[in-house]
Amino acid sequence: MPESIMLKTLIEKLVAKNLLQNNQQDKIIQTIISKQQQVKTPWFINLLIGCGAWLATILLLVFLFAVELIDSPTEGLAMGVIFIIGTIALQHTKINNIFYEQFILAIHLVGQVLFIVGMVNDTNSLTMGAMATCCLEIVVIVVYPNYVLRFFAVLIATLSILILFYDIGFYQGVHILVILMATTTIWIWLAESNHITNKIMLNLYEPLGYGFITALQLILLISILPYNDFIPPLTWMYSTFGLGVVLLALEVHILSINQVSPSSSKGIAILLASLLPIILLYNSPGIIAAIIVLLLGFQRGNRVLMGLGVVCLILFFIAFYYYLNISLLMKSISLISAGIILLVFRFVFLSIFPLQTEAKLIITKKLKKKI
Amino acid sequence: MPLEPSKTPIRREHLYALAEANYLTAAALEYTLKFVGFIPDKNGWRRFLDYILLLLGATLLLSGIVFFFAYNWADMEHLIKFATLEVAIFLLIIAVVWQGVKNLTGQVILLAVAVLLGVLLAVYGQTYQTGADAFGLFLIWAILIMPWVFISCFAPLWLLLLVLLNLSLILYWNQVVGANLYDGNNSFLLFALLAMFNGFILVIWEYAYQQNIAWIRNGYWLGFIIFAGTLMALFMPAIVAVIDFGDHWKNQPMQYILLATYLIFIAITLWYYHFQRQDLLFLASNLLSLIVIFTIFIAHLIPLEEEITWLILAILVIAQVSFVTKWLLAIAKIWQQEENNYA
Repeated sequence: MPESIMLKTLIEKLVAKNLLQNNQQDKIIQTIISKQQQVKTPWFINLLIGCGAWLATILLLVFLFAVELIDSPTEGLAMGVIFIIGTIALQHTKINNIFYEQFILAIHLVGQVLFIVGMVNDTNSLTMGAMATCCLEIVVIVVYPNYVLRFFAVLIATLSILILFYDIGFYQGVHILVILMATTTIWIWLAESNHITNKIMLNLYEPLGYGFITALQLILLISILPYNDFIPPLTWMYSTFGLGVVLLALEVHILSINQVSPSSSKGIAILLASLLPIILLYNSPGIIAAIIVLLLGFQRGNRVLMGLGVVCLILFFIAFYYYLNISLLMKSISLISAGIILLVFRFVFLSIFPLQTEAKLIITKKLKKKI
Repeated sequence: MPLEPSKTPIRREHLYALAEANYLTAAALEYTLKFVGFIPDKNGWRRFLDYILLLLGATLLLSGIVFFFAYNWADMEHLIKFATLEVAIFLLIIAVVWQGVKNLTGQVILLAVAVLLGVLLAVYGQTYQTGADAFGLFLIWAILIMPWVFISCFAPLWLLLLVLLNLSLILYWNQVVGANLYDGNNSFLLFALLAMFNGFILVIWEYAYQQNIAWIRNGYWLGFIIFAGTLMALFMPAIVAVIDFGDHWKNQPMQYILLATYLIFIAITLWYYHFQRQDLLFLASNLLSLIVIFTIFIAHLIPLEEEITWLILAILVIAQVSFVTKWLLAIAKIWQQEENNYA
């Protein structure tokens, strides 16, 4: 937990560094006062809103089918389009009421379900349905400014692309999707400061960032599902190596911004240490993706991302050892070896990068000030 | 409201607001986030990697040891089983004494010792065929690790202890009382006992939290797990009670007592987490459970064969979620203003 720095100290520091103009202090204080009146919606309230919207959507769909309002796929498709367009228009009205927003969100989701199911049944083609869904979600992300819906739109679009690949028989395309999603996720979170200063990305980056991370982990869940006829044969090694490259690139970036050259002995040691899990866990892309999310979360000081990373890491690790096709003895030996290797890594790491205690840190800061 | 810059601690949202208003460029925002400590510097990364390697390494090593004993259960000589485990425990205890229990490394090693003790007890039960029920193993294990748990002040060790005690109770009910989770009044009594036990721990935890004990304050998620455990122990029988509303009143009065207890628990915790502790996550969890119970109750009262019922339920869900969201955001705003005034 960082020590609290007062606003005045920070303003002085930023003015001294020429990052802020001296005559802007009053305006800055006004901006902060107005910010203090606003409350940011926490993730669990967004989750509550999302769960409520989907539950209401299911109940509304049951109602629509119970009153037999829809007789054919074409009618469903038409009604879906009307609901979608209508709710997008209503969303742009100036009414600021949570019930109203929740209601049109539920109606919008009903519209999406009717549109997707209607499209698939009307055209008799999964491919057409998946492509239409993907396009619809992109449009929705742009024109429907709602945090929860934008998050869901990423998940639905990802699912539609997966179905598209499945339907056209391009099974290995999932690896391209995984790598693209990981890269996009990293870009979204690492460039967070750029997005905040950008009027278009300001309201987009968070729902999209969380959406991409969730979608990435959901796709990788396929890699730990037990064998069944619905899942085509996939070579998960491709995803692991792709994610491995993404992980190494992320580490190079983190090293660089912390003034450690990737080509220095320390940098090379860290990158080589990261290669080991990529090679050993070549069939478990989920673990590599979880490590990426964990590092990204820590880099941005984002506890939600870190929590997601830890949960996924535990899940994929358990799955990895559960499905490992070796005897219990070999599993135990591999676990013990992995544990010892990590503890040895820690020992080596501490000797390469010795930890600075609080007292040492204060002395170092004082010395720097004097210099 | 006047704002005193020399007394206002800077928050991440403040910096984002300055960037949104174009007072800070993207590069300046990134520099400031690092300067204030919201994103880690080199030393932060060192600590993080140190913790991760330690926790992951210790977890894998311990799991490997447990698996090793599971595999060699039958084939190993008794003496070798005991000697290996006891030597490992002894060496790890020396390591704990060397590192100290207030240090993360020492605490993680102590957790390893606590897990190995369970393995040792299992080996003992297997070797001498004590005939004791499984609940006995978990209970003795829990009792034996208690002193370590108390001195360590380490949330994961407390979690292990609580899991063991809950498991002991559930298995006791299953093996000694001979009732399972679906066995009418007996199962409701089990839920009542679980709720009482976890509720008692929750009260102690919250008392310690109010005393500003540092490790309790840092163990936020353990507090939430204890709260969620208590809530679930009351929520599950409350759902059954609402579904069975009216039909089984005479046969199973216990479920209605639990339903009443659930409502009292919700009322007390809503008051406590609103006015005393001021925690939105606990409030939101409480209210989510209440929404589910109330919706099921209304669905039970109105005829589901009528089409309009589904529309009413949909609107009811939306109304409840909207009301809860609005209320939570409103109190969050009040808390924020109080915090600003205090600062």
